[in-house]
Amino acid sequence: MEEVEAFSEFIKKAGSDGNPIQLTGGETKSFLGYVPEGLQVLTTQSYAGILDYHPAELIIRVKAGTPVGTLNALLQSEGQMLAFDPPAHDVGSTIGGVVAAGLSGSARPYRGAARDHLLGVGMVLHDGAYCEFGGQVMKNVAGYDVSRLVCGAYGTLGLMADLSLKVVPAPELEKTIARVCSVDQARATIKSLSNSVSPLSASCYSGDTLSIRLSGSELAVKATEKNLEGIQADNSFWDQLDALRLPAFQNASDIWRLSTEPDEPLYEYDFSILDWGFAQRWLLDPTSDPRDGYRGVGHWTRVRSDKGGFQAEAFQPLSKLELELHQRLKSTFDPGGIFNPGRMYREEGL
Amino acid sequence: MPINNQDFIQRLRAVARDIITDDERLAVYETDGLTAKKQLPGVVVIPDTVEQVQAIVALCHAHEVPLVARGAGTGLSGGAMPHSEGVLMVMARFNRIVDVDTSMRTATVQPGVTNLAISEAVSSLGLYYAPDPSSQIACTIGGNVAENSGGVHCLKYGLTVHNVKQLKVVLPGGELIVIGGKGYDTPGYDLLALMHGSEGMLGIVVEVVVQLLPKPSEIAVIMAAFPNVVDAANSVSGVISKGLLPAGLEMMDKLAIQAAEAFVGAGYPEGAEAMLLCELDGSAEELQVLIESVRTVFRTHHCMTFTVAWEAIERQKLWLGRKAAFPAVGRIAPDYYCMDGTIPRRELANVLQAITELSHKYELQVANVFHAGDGNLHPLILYDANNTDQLTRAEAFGSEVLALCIEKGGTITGEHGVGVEKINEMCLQFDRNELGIFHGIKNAFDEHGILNPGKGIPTLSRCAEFGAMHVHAGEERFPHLDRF
Repeated sequence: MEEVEAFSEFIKKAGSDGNPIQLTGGETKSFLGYVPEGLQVLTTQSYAGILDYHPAELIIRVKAGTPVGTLNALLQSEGQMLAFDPPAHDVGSTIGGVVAAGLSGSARPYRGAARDHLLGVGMVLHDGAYCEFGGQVMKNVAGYDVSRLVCGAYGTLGLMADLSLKVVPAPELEKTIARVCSVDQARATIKSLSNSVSPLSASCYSGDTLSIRLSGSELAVKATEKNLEGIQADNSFWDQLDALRLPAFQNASDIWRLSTEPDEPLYEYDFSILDWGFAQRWLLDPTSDPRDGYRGVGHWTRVRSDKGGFQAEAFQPLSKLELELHQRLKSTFDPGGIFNPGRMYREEGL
Repeated sequence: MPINNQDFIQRLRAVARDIITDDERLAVYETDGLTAKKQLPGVVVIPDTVEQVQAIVALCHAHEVPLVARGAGTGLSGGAMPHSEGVLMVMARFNRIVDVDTSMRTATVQPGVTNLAISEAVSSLGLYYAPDPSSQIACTIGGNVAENSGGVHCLKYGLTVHNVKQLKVVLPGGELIVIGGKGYDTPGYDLLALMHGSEGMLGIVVEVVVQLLPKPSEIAVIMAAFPNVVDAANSVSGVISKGLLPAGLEMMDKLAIQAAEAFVGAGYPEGAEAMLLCELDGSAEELQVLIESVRTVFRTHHCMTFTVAWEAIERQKLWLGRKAAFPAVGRIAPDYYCMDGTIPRRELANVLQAITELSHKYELQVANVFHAGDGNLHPLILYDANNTDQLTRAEAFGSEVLALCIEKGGTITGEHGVGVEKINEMCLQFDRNELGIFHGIKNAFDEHGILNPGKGIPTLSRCAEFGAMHVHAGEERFPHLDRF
């Protein structure tokens, strides 16, 4: 806990000096959202390691700075995994960073999001107090669900020092199958698998290729595979996709993400990649803000922009009512506005 | 005691015509599933439309009158216990399934729809709604959201929070807000999660979009008898350690088995000290493999009988006994006090042993029925409410069980909520900083504190009165309070 005490001292001083902090883990997601320049940096990167892990409990409690890769390797050695495919954008990506950004990988529609597997957090508040919310049990309704509130809050509510996550048994067999087909065929294939009991655990349509991942018992995977056309592909495809390391992403300088309903039309947008059963859509290098004139449901995120271009908020603006609630929650947790000011909404200091 | 503010009642009547003010009819609503706590509401209002709900909430907000929302009143922690000076808003008329989207596998329902009614309505489409609290025949989805209800299938399929996509909520000022969506995420903070388990203290849910799941092709329920609770508890850990994730894994002890058997005749092994029900789903071939794996684990832990129910009617009979366990225990004692602590699974055997010892100490019988796979205990302490000494002992017994759950790294409530029942024990689980954050969240939504006051989160002075608060090592006790 020495490190946590150091975090606490740092935060207390920042609070009394009125000197805002950039909270980070491995600093691998600075492309996402607004990061003001010149802030003092407090990183959890050195606070890494396992605090508690009994595989039979299906729960692991880790320090926030633990690299995602290290955590995955440990779980794998026990025949377990994190079900939500935490994306590791770089080797330094930490589990605390993934959860703080609320990021989930390819399995999201089929096995749930980061927040669905988060059971508890230990966090340092604006006044330096270390608090625990949630816990190391599967079911817990004592108090408001603060853990899930800080998941996806980009460190704007406090410093997440440690977290407890639900883990699941790893599947007996995992296979990726790819085939060339039309967009309508891709959609129909995914739909028929996701609307029946099937081992579908990921789906992606890119170029003219549909990739499907099946995970489960050998019996279930083989039974489903029999009815699918296509050739076997490498399972590492999904890590590349989740980490935005597919060639299409790497060649793009302006990456937009639309999170919508799977059945929503594509309208006139020329999406490069459609994953999450068509609910997550990637638009690369648009010439103007794609939100202008968008008439569908869902919300846009400007995920990465290397060349500036037109001005745009990274995240879809909130409604007036939502914004008021957010601001009141923010001032409850961070009355002095010292944690990651503006990371989510620059103008509003959120 | 009807509310003594004719002007307010008149304004309320102008908004919604169905209002109850006479003691006799108010008495219908004096308690929820926690019958030990009774309180006549100031006034009852039964709205028909969302606009009426908005107007009622806005009226209460303007006049700073307490407002408690009520679903079916099946809650076990007194979350819907009325306020003597306040309005009790009954959501019973919001009982319509608005829409079922088979492509998206979602159902849009009003909050007063019962949990079971959703699954029944979509059954012919090959779909169901997974969370299934034992009270599912009566409890409403609005109440399920308020409590973040679980059930016997949450080990594999999650709690309410994992199965709800979108909520329409009336905020304490009367504004209507949509939280979440049919997609997989929304911008900003996760208010959808925050609403779950907030016990009607942050807003009033007026519409819920739930995720439906395709029904599994085959289901098997294993019933196994054990010579003692320790072997049964170790079997539970054994199954999970083997990488198996049953759809449900439930345990009952001897007293609970006997009570359930006498009540519904489910075919339980009456002589056994403990019993496990283990539900598995998948293809017929998969199930064969899974059943053999479970059999191997159970045998290692001295299981005495092992039977598998495949047919729907047989399976339902087995679950009926489990789901009727609370009322069944209610038949063998005048009253029972239902606990809801959750502990790490590895502590099951120890905690069960400790509960047996407490049963001797307080000279009260206890029946254990619980979600073993989740480590969620439901000890039912048997007592007679007409005997004040027994009631006092039952409450002290319960409080000690909850303290034990916290000591073992668990929580005071897994799925029943805090309500009024466990408000003191909240002081054991959380310190003043943590409670401060909870109060801050409440205040961010409900600055006048009109929604369900006195529930869920204790005030610091209440904790001081209770004489206990969780303190982290080395911290002074109640440094913020004046010394007497």
